[in-house]
Formats: sequence, structure tokens, C-alpha cells
Amino acid sequence: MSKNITFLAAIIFAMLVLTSSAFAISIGIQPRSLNPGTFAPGQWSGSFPINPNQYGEQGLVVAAASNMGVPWYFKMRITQPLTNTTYPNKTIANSNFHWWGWTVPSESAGNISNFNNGIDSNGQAYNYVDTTVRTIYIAAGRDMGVPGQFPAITKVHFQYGISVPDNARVGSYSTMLEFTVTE
Amino acid sequence: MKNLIKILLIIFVFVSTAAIAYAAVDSIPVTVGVSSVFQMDLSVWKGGVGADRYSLVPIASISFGSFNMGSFTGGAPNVMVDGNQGGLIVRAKTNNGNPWTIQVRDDQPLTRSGGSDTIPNSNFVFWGWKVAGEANGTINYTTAQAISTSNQVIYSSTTAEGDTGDTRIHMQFGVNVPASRYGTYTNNIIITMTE
Repeated sequence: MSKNITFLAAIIFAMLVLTSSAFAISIGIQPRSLNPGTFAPGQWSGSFPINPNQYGEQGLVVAAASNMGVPWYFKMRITQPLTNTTYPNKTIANSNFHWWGWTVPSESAGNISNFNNGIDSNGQAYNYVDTTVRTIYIAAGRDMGVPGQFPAITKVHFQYGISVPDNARVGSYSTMLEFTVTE
Repeated sequence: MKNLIKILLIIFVFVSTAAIAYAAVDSIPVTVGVSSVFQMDLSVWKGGVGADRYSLVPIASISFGSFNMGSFTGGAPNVMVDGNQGGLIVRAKTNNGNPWTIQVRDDQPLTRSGGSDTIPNSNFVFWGWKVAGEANGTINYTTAQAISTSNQVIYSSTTAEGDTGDTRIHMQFGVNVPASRYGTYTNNIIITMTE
């Protein structure tokens, strides 16, 4: 009986290793932080990031590598509202923290999921950043990769903007922007 | 029986691995700064009958006009809109999160141009009021109070007003003209916002 258990445990381990090595999905973000600067109450931050990243790419670039051969999704959330680091009870509402995204045909084949929460004075449609996990991109075609082959690289571009409320207290506000790629 | 168990467990392994959900997570910090605001300005209503009659117009000086000895100038600035007196509007704003005050003083008694004659500060009075929705703090002098070369606190904010947008209070000034030599008397009124 003990030999059988050892045998089965070995089979389970081997299957997990084989299965894991046959499929891969990973994620990367550039740049590695967003610091739009300091603004007065009532002021609009403008779009950020404004400068190309170290690879010359515009916006925040979220990249996924997949050879799953199945549809997958980018999901996004912030871990908490932008929170004053000195006065933790002072936050900037998520509805003041906007995002929008775009794709480049040579980099992706899927679609961005817009929520169309508003349009700014420049005619730019935007979405609210949220602490709830939101699906923001649905992979398609080439994005999915082919099992057993080198993973397909997919890139999606994002920009953000913050409308600082009139009654925002002085200080530094921070949060974590989290992306998940999942099948 | 042993073989059956093996087969069942192997099937279980295949089903289990097929059910694994693949996911990867990455995150970056986001930081934005909000600058300090601590500001105050002086204005009056534009007045008239237009839609913008309550809009604010900066004011740089107050002129009472000419009065006989023994008369009272009345309150100034004097801007009536829809039956409401606007007076001098002190607009204050801060986001430092602390309560603050508005203080008033003059730099010297009203002094005759080209001379040394003065109208005592005891004849130069001020008073203030607040309007619902514009201020929630405390007005200390709602009736005539003689001005002084020392600061007097006319308004004390609430703590909440350390975070809000504009807070507005209204003030007027008046002079009881004493027996004095004819001429133009001037001085500077100094209004200070302080934490």
C-alpha cells in the first residue's frame, strides 16, 4: 500500500510539472511607478505617464506572454483609493482617478473593455480606476499563443489622469496599481 | 482493486491539472502630491441686475465719501444685491487641515493728508456677518467694534474649514466723524488670515 501511495504521489508531481511547463502566462509593467507630480486642489494632473518608457513606448505598457492557446484577460484594480500618507482618512475618490487605453495592431489582437464613465474637456473618453477588479482587456487571436511554442507577447497601452478635488488636503497620496493576467 | 485505485487516481490527476487556472499578477506604486493652499482675498459683489451680480470683483480701497463733523458715514463698502448687503467679502481657503482665523487692524489712525491731524480709532468701527452656506465658524463682532492697531479676531473657522473650498465672511466699516479739520483722512486696513 505504501509503495502505491509513493507511486501515485510521484505521478501527481510529474503531471503538475509537465502541465506547468507546457503552458505559460506571465505579465510585466513598464514603467515601474507612476508619479505625475504635485498639483493644487481643483487642478487636473494631465495625462500620465507622458514620456515614453525606457523602450520608447508611449503610456504605461502592460505586457503578457502566453502560449496557453486559450482566451485570457487583463484585469486591473487599485489596492485602495489614493490615500494621504500623513492623514490616512483623507483619500481621493476613485471617480477622480481616470484611465483610458489603446492598442497597436502589431502588438495585440484583442479589445479594451471601456466603461465610458465620462469624457474630459479634450474629448477623451475615460474610465474610473476602481478598487474592484475590472476586466480591461480581452485577448484574441495571436494574443493567445500556441501550446508548446514560444509565448506570444501582447502589449496594451494605458494612460491615467487625476482630478484633484477642491477640498483635497495637502500631502502625498498613494496606492498600488495592480494588473492580473488570467485565463 | 489496487489497479482500480491507481486508475481512478490517475484520472483525478488529469482532471485536476486541467482545472488549474493560470494567472500572473504585477503591481506598481502610484503617488500624486497635493500642494498646500493658504490664501485669502478681498472683493465685493459686482452688483447691478445681471446674472453675474453676485460674482466677485477685487477691491483695493474703501472710500467713504465726504461727511460733516458729527455725522456717521454709514457702512462701506456698500453693495446691495436683491436686497442683500454684500459689504467687503473676505474669501479664505486652506487645505492644511487646521482651524484658522481672520484678524483685522489698521496701521495707524485715519490721518489727514499733508498733516498730522487724526481721527481716533475709537471713531473708526467695523463689524461682520456670515451667510448660511458660506461659512460655519464664529463671527466675533457682529456689531460695531472700534478698530485698533492691534489685531482683533473677527472670524474663527471650524476645523472642517481647514479642508473645504472657499469660506466667505462679510464686513463693513464706518466712521463717526468727530470735530476735525477738513480734508482727506486715510490709513490702511490690514486683514490677516492665520492658523
